Amino acid sequence: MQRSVIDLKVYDPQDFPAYLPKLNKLYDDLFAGGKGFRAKLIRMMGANLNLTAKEELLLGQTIEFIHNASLLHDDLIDRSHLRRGKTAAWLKYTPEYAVLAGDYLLARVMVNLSGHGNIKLVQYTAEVISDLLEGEWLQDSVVGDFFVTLEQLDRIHNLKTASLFKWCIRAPFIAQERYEEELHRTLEEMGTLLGQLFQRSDDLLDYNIRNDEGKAILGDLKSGYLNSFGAFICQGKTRQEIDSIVKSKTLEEYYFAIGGKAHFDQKLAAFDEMNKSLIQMYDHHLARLQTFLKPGEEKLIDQLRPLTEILYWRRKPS
Amino acid sequence: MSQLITLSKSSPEFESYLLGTFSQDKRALPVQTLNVNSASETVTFRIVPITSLQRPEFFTVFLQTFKVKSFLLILVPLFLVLTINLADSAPLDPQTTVLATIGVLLAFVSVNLRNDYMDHMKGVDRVLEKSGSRAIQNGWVTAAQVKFYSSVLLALAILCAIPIIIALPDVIWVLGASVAVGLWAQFKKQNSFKYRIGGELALFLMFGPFLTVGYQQAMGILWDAESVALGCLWGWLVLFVVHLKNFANILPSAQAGFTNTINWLGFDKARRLLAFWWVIFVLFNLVYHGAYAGKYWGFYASVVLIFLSFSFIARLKNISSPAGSELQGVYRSGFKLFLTTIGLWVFECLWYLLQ
Repeated sequence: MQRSVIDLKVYDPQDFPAYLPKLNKLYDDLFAGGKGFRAKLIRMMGANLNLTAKEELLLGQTIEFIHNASLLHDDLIDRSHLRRGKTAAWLKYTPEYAVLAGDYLLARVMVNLSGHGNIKLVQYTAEVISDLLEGEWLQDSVVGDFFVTLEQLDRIHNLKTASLFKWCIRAPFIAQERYEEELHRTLEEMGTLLGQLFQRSDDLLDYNIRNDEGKAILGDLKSGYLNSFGAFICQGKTRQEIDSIVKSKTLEEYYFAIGGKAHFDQKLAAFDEMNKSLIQMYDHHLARLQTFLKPGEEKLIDQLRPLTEILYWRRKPS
Repeated sequence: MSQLITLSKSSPEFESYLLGTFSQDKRALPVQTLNVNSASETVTFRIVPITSLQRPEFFTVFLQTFKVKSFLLILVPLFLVLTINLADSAPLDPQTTVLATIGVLLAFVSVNLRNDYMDHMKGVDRVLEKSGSRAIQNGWVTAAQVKFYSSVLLALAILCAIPIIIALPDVIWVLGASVAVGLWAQFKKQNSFKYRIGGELALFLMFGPFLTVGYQQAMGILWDAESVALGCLWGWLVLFVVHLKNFANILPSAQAGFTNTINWLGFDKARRLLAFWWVIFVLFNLVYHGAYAGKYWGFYASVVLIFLSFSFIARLKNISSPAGSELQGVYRSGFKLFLTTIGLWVFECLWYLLQ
């Protein structure tokens, strides 16, 4: 059964009480237009691991609630005016409402999950939320820092971005009360790699690389944030060179500042090559995952394999 | 093309891959993990043929493996004790002095290598990407080789110590205390590699008063309050650098659950600790000079250090992120103070010698 993100909005009738119309309107705006990639990932896991429809809905809804709560807070922190092509919630409904709406989503996550009764799932989800918030906090603390290194950004992205990917692939096993340590270590590494690849690919959009979504060019840089590809380019550059790079207003100015388009392409190839080794690592862990699956669950491997194609190369798997 | 292999601690091959003894023509390079809790239990290795490794020239490998840069930590106090005694025209024994110098240096390199080996086996080098010499992580040497070098150098250091102990039996007390503290720190690390506050105390004693007192005794001169004070001063300065380094690694080491003074205090209090530690050092240096050295040197050195401290304190005050590049800026600024202090001391000692 196909389900859109907006369908995931409600798990329990109590989720969004009718006596809070503004809150409902805000959520309708927020959820509509989302791709629901994480919920789709849950559905894929659930279908192969034989989760019940109720469990699948709970997990799908949980991840979308957490993700959307982070977007509400993120837009306010970044002062982003647009979210999914529409006015951001903090601008449309006031910052106070945006904060409350984000907090409310996180609270509903805990209410719904604790109602399900799996305490390990509740605990793990709470850990992921705290990781996410730590990541947000740390990311904000490096805004304006144009000398930040790729390693430092990786640590931030592991908290902010990868934590949700890890949750998507670990939570279905936890919901089934499958707690083998080795299995979860493997899933943890896979989630980290998916998160890093997704983030790095998303950061490339800023430089108009594989940017089919039409994301704003040099948006991160203009808002004072040196993203992973920016940090990779700036590696080994002098303070003066970095000063001139970060002042670029257009891609042409950027190419000029780093030493020409050819140099940019060279750096991009090196960046892709580095990420290919992450993809190789993901495939390695995927093969390990196979050893932990029960008979009948093997199809999961085939479905998880193309994720790196989708998330990093942003193309449909062949 | 490299291949990947993941092994858990329970696997019988685990140790041979970590040690690098699993193959004659391949190296197993542990892949860094951001999931710190799994760092020591499960390790993914990239298996690379030795021929395909990018290996710098021998000299670079040597300098990095043996961490020649860190020799400063041991050579400076030896130089200070030696020149102070030469300037005081103390009756030192040239043979035991030479033996002690070589022995201390060998023991230091041995401990350094052993530390890198332990960090590799325990997974610390997979959590802190800049820890240690990185020679094992780069595949230039295997952990087994590092352990072997460490043992050989330790044996040589013991050989150097034996004639000194025979000639000057009192040295055995300081040597015994140093060995006891060293073994205690190693034992703590082996059992709980995440606890490091005890290690900081061990570093202070071994790089500080134990070293200066032991070296002075090994030169055939009775230990005195000055050698203890000098040791405490140097030990304090060494710990300043250790705290600086821990501060630069505050995020990954806190995530990994390492307990050192900096993590224990947290980011904001740690900044205050660093400033406080440095101010105490400057005062201690002034008091030391007032008691044992030229007061004018104490005054001039303090003026220079106070003047240079402003930018360090300002950096500490302005740093806002435990994850950004400012951490390295603070480290570099603090390390410059450390190097400047050494420069001033060396200049001062040469001045005394030439008098």
